Amino acid sequence: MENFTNNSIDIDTLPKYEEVSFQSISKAYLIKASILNLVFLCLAVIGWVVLFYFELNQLQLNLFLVGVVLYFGFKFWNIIQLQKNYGFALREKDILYRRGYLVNKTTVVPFNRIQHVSITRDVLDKMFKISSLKIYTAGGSGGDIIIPGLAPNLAQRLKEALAAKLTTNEV
Amino acid sequence: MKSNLFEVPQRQSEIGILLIFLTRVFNLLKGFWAIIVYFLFTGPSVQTLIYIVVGLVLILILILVYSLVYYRNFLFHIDYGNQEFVLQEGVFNTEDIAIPFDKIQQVYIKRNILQRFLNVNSFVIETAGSKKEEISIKAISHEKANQLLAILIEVKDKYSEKISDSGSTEDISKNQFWSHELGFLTLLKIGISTNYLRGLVLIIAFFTTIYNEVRTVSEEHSETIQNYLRELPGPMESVSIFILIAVVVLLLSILITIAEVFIKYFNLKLTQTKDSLELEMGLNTNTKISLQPRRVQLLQVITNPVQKWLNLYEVRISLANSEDELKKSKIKIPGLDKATVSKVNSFLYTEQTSDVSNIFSPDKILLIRRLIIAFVPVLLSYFAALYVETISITVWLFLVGIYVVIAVIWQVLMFKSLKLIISNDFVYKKHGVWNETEKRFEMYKTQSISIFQPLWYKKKDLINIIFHTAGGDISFRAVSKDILPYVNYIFYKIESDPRSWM
Repeated sequence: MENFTNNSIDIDTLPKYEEVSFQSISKAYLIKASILNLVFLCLAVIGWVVLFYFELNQLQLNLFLVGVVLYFGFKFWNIIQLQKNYGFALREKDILYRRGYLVNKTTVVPFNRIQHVSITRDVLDKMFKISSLKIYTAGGSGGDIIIPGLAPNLAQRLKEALAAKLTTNEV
Repeated sequence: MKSNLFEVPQRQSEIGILLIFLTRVFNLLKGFWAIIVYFLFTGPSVQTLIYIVVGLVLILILILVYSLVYYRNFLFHIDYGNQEFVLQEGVFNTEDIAIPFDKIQQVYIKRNILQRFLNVNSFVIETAGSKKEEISIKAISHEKANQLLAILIEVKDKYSEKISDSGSTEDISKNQFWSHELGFLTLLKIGISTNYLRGLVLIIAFFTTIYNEVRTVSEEHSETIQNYLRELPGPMESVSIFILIAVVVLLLSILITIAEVFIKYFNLKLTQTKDSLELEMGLNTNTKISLQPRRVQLLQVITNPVQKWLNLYEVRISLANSEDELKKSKIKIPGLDKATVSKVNSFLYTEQTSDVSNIFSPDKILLIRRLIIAFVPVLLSYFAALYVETISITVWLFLVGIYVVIAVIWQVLMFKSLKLIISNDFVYKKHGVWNETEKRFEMYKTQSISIFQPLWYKKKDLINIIFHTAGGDISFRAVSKDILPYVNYIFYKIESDPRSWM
């Protein structure tokens, strides 16, 4: 207790998370998301063709087509917007992750609250040479963060950096 | 450490391939047994039988290849340098997990029938994270599993600060500070005051069924009913019968709740010792819980006007428990009086200074949005009323009128009750129209924070905020951006506080 201090803290001088500049994720993720969307679009078109052979009336077919175009149009547009908003940032004591266009969401995880970290890659990730970094906390799934579209070596470096912080922080 | 065992990445036992294969085949059979049985019973021709057999063989080969690749890709090792356990796995989706030694909560070995038959073990590592089992090695030899278990338990104990569950029973009785017991009368009060809403629902359900019965019966035997009604002494009598039924139902539902309360909370005793709160309760299953301040993640105090008048408050405590199976348990303690609640508070949170508190309320836009949502059923019911002939417009207007009045009052009260309070060390959230709830948690126990800004909040500079704690998420919507300095303050508190959150 001898080196105990209790200085008052000027709340406005604290570092501001909202002023941190974010690093964006790999462009390859944009391609991956678009391809996934394209696959679903193909499925929808196949569905439309099948319906065509079942001889629905013209109105229903048109409605279906308009729905498909609107939905996938929105999806493609949204993917581009999303890509612009994906970002992460490391500070000395926490990691920030930002995503979302319609609803912009930033999650901040302090290093001393991280439980463990993992890297995952699915088939498309392997094709485009990217990976996702998952950071788990004890705060339930809402408090975890999954950063997609990272270059594998960057993900690996981040993971190792986080692991190093995790262990030094505790002692 | 004896040696650097498991330092090199290694695979499971080779017999693991068989285990993976059999498990996959079994899962497949579980999914498709109905189809297989169907085929066998339809008496397929020789040709289709051949097709099926060829298909099955192909599938089996594919599964075998999958199992082989899975086995080959499944690599685990201990990284002594970084002090973590590392696992790589996956065929199509690969995952690379690292668990720091000091985050390991539980390590254990288990085996199912198949594993027993193949003489291998499952090796499981759990952390406080959201998944149940973070790491599960399905096929590891008994010898290796035991080695690994010994090593991991050793490092886990070495690196994680040991939380000593101090105090034998003798100690506890010595250091008793105060204790609180629920008497018969209090239990009765809780029983009467808590769940009358459920009683109401029961009654409503009861009467609607009776009403429906009577209607169907009266349609079928309208004449006999009318005869019967004529025989009845008078309308007053039938009304009194209904009232009698209502009273009986109400009493019954109250009795049921009281019985439930008695079974659950009989002999509830809360005792404060030097470093924990001991809770005992229950009639048939005697629950005994020790509440240590550092384990408490979230505290809720709930009351309603009737209970407030009776001086009854319910306390709910979310614990992070590493000892017992790591279940994040929520403990309900009803029927505490105000003085006891504040005693519990001051014990669990010793360092509460009467400090500055900053109160935040949501923006009006939240109320407006909720009112709009509340009006959706009105609109829907209007269309329903148009199409269904039996509901006349006047009846609809009457019902909608009642609904609108209640909904508006409810939403306005709800809106007014919403408060987020940030003090020096705590975050509080207050809400509730009838059930007034106050949630509180220590700032430094927050796990992470998410800040949302929908596009349509940008102009008004509003945000939604969610505090992720180990006791659950606490969200607060449509709050002004003025809160951000305090959010930064919370990060400062989390990151500068050396205390462990559990």
